[in-house]
Amino acid sequence: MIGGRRVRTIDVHAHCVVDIRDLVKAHYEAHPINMGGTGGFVADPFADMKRPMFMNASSVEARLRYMDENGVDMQAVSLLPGYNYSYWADRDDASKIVQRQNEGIAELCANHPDRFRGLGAVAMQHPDLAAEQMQYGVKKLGLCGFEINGDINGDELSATKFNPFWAKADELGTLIFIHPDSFTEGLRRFQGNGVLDNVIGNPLETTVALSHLIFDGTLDRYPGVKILGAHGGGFLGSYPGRSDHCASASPFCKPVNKLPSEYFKQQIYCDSLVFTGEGLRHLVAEFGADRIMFGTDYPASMSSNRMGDGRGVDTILDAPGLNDGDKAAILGDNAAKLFRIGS
Amino acid sequence: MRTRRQFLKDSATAGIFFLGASRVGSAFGTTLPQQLGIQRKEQQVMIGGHRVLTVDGHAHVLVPDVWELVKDRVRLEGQSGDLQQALQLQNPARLTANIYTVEKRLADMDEMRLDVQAVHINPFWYWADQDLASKIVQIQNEKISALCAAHPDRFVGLGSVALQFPSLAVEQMEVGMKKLGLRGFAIAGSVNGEELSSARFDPFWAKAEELQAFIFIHPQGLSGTGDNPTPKEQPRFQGNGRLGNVIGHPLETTLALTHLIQDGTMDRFPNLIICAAHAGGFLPSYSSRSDQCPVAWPQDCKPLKKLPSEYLKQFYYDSILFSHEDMRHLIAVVGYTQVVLGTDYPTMWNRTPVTRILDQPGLTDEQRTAILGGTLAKLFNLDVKFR
Repeated sequence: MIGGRRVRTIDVHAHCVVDIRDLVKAHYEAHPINMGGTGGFVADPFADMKRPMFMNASSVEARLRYMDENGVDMQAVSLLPGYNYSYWADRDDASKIVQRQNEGIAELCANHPDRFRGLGAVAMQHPDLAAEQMQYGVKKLGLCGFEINGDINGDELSATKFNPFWAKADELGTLIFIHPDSFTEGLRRFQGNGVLDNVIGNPLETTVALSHLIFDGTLDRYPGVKILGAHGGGFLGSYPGRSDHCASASPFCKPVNKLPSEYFKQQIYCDSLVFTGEGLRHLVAEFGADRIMFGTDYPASMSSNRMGDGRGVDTILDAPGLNDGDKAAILGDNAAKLFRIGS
Repeated sequence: MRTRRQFLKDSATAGIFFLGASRVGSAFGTTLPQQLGIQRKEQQVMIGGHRVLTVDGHAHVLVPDVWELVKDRVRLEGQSGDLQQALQLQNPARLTANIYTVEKRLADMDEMRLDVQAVHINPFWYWADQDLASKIVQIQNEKISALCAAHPDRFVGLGSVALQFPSLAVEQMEVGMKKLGLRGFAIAGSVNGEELSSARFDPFWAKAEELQAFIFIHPQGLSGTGDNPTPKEQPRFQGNGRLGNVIGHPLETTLALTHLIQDGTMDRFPNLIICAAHAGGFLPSYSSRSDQCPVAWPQDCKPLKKLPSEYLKQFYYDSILFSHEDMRHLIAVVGYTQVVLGTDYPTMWNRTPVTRILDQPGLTDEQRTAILGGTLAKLFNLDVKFR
């Protein structure tokens, strides 16, 4: 309840995993995947199917229980990055993997239409296939958006090869959730204490991705594209001034249509995952409450793993300097409008 | 060893002197505008009816004398960021940061309403061997010292060190602080790929703490690759937007401060005086993700004495931000006592530094006075008297 009104809370940053083990088994056996930190390299990331992000009955039950206990009415679910990004796959494999993943997400949404919306996968390494998958996902599976990494096998999202993808995203007006999977080119600097491949690598990857989409003109070419930047839009969301200054004052920067921060006010949403009330107040002051959407990073928001926001809705409700309208917008109204969820 | 607080207290009671033993007792600021023959009355900064000192903590100089020493080798041995720095030296007539064009600098300072600049040189010599690095640093530190001696009420010197040779850097700090009247030193965010938290640099940090030297960390893009890294050096910073600078600089500073915190350097040397360029890069503006880590992965986040974000309150940050909201956020996170005026002179990042602070909403007179120069005057041990 905010200001006497029941607000539908929608968590736009909540992960799930669809079982694709049979499709990726051979690949991960040949190329073990780094799970980060002491997780190390594993050949079977799907080994423990009881974990809370999977889609079997008990995990879905646990998910719903978490949502009930934490005041989350709905989740817009997306795949857990890392081993669920299949950018290594050839066209045929990628087609099968994405189909399985998107159907799995759609099934969850169909079984609980009042609790879930789906952000699907796309095979970005095959941009025309990705465009088809988006078309199918929106029109046939009812997905509300799609999740991609901040680069695709080292190619920036602004590379011209991705124009068919952006053209389709522009046409459909569907949400593109940019979720980082560390910053591979910086790993040497992320050694030592503190899991810096996540703590710095993730917000950096988002910063670089958004900067390229802005500075290389992609967002100018496709003005209908709507982006959601994970973790408060990375560093860029909280430190936009240097980019604005470069765009407005530097002779070394080719002009773009708007200042970088203005793209955040029109084409780029941020989730609320900056962890503190002051951090959230700052984001709202930069871009407006209508540009920020509630996110927890489930299941990392659970008490066993607090890399997400374990305080959930309370982070929004307790944020200093936000009025009731701001809080309602962030907690659910913005997402409801975007996903066309009626009251 | 004295703590910083004791140090400041002792200095205050002993009578603060300015710029080293040779200039003990030079009454700072008393005859400053008149002596220099510059009419600065209308440019003086007043707060609440009082004349307020303004000190720029982030200002570049370059000493063209070292060009001959480095010109043949920097191309072969340096990073692209080193070359970018060094190449400016080859044409002193066009060099706005030239240490010898003092009149122009003073005129700019007057226009920018700066009483004092703390000048430094961005490191571009970490590739050099011991002999060459020693020569470069000696020349630069002596020239900076001479500039300060000629204009003791306008300049504070932050010297150079050959950080790639920590024991040499320790000697250079001793000489710089005790003989040349320098107040501190400027270093990069990493040294030839090595983090500042590497145990190899502990002697440097120990000496910096002992001398209470002001250590200014200025990035040279990510890993010293400058504004325009080659695709091989950093493939992700290609394209429009000068990302080698716009992202690379704040990233390098973020990595530097993060390693100093996470790898325990700040726990080992808790009384260091460190100031980070460009408002500390991304880190203080995006401070809380690192605090989640010890809970999420206790096995990968070795315990520190405090939460990572708590250490942010013991660094200093220059004021090179571009909106009142960004400044408000920085102050909310680290406290006004940690923010000091910075211009990035002679670059165009902040040409109205004083006005930005005077116009910043929500600050008290005391807070503005501290940010504009009060805090740096204490850290540089300046005795300030206005007439």
